[in-house]
Amino acid sequence: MTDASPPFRKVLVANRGEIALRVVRGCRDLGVKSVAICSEADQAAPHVRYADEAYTIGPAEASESYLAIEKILDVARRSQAEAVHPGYGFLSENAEFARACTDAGLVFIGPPPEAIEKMGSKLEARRTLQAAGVPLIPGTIEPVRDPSEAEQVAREIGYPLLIKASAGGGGKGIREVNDAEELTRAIANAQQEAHAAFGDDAIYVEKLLRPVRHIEIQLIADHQGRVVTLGERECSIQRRRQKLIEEAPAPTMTPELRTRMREAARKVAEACDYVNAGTVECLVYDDDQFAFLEMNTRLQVEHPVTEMVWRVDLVAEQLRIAAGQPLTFTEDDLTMRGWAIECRVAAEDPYQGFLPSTGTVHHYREPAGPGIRVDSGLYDGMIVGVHYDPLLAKIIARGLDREQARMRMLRALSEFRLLGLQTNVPFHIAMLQDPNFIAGEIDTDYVERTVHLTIDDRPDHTDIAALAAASFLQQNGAGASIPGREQSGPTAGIDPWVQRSRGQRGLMAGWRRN
Amino acid sequence: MAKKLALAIGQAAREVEVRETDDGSIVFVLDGTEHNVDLKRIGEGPLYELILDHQATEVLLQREGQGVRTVIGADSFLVTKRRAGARGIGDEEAQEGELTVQSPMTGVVVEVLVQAGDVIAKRDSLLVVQAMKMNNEIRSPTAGTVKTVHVAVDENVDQSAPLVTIELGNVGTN
Repeated sequence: MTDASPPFRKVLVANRGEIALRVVRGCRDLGVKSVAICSEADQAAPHVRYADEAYTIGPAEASESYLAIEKILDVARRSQAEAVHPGYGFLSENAEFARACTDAGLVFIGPPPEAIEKMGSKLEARRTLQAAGVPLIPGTIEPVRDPSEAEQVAREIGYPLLIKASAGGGGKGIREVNDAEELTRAIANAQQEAHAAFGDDAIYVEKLLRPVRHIEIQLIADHQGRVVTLGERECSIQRRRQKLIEEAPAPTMTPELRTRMREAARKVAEACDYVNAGTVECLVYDDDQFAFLEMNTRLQVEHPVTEMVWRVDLVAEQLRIAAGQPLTFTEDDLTMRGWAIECRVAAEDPYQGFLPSTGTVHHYREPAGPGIRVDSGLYDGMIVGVHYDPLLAKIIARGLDREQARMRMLRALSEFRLLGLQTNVPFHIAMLQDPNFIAGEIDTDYVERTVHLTIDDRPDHTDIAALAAASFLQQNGAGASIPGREQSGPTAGIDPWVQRSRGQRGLMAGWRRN
Repeated sequence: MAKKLALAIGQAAREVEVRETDDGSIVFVLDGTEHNVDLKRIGEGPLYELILDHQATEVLLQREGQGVRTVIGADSFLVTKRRAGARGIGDEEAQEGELTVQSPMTGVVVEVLVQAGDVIAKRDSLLVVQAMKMNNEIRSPTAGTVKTVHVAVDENVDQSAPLVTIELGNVGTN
């Protein structure tokens, strides 16, 4: 049984958007009071409305608000919070912030700063894990200082290869090199870039494995030294190394490979004395080979798919562990059941190469119904600008099997209503109906290779606008002498994309694909 | 009894005939096709339920100046009445005049791919604007001749800032 007493009295949530709301909810589920912080741009956001207390800490710029360590610690003092949950992004993988919390007498809900640092340095992580016997992507474990050194490595592992910044991560600080001619220039550029972006010019070389799947293992560890791994998430549907769709389990996973990957993830956790929730990201290739990519020392965006199929509350576990409580279950106590898929809804225009879109949310209504969970930071009147990450909402569909989860997701996407802003929902609808996606035949280049909506796919709303406005003018006395009439009529909704697939492109075809 | 509404919808034009049928109901005729339109206001705000040919969706309708701001999905149109009796041209794009492509976002110009005098086709790349660490190719919505390039590499641009002005019209004279 879980401990009935709340792990903390009050927790400060050092984040915004959907993840801040997720943590606020996790707190309330445990009887823990939550403190929201917000920038001036976010004062009407759901995480502010639903938390027990809220403090505005600065202007929209993240450096003046969500990254302002002193301001956040000041709010923690004023509100008498006992612990800080960093969410993901912002300060979540900042060891200095974790230390500052501890120094201020607060519990940082996450791993020890030493573990953040060890895994944050990609080279140190590679050295540590090689010693621990975890399979690595072929490449160097020491910094590469000059082109001749890199050429030597390239001869051993072959092209194409990647030059990576040791301090990078999450897809940042990576450069692709296809042949020896490109190498010299790429090394110099990568060093400069790494220095500018991370203040650390250490770079290293890795073989570019292709095709690969991105499959990661969720784990959770307590202060008593117990590590529980919670199976995998398949995240190969990504674009420019940013994930778009995740699912659990992975369609091609075998029990044998899952066991080997979970064992490796456990070794990673043990090698860095890990505590709290973390994720070991791997590349899977040649069907049953895998190699360590990086460890994310925080809660991840896609954590809900794991929660769905393993029936655990990862945020609740994070809070309990941070309070020093031992895990109340072992791997043998848990079984995976069913299937879950997550779509990341972002302010990006899939008809124009995923261009960031900005605007005002005039009306938002989120999907619900059997098997659907929505974690969202959207609200009516929200102004979506350029200050923050374009992620707006996550839709998670759960089913007894993959096909049920997929169909429920398509239903949820058709119910996702947002007026005033282009989102990537049409991409998700297209991908979920893609034959290869349905067959589970995907890899990390699949999106860029195949799914191309263009401006010509964008539904033309001109006729609908004409009719809606004509009706509005007629109702509101635009000079028309025809009396208004009773509002009635069946609302039988024919599914817009089912209709489209039958080739009947009436006025309404595809018009919900906003 | 019938009434014709000549409408400008952004750059496009449509003519909608509002016609009363024998049983007293109203149909809207667009391009010779009859449409059943029910428009129901939701609450006191600008949100409406539009039931068009028995399919429902939410739209935003609001007076704005002389016209009606109409938001459908991600699209926002200003619909205005054109002079009564004016012929609807029905064309999606103007055939003459000029058009200024605006920046869809706040960002930095990292590449300019055209210069004044260039003859371009619809969807040709004009320039690249970087925002949120992503490079975004800005393409031409129309064919024509580049008249003015308003920005240079490394220039910061606000959302809606003019980027390139394109002279519409006969292509291929150059």
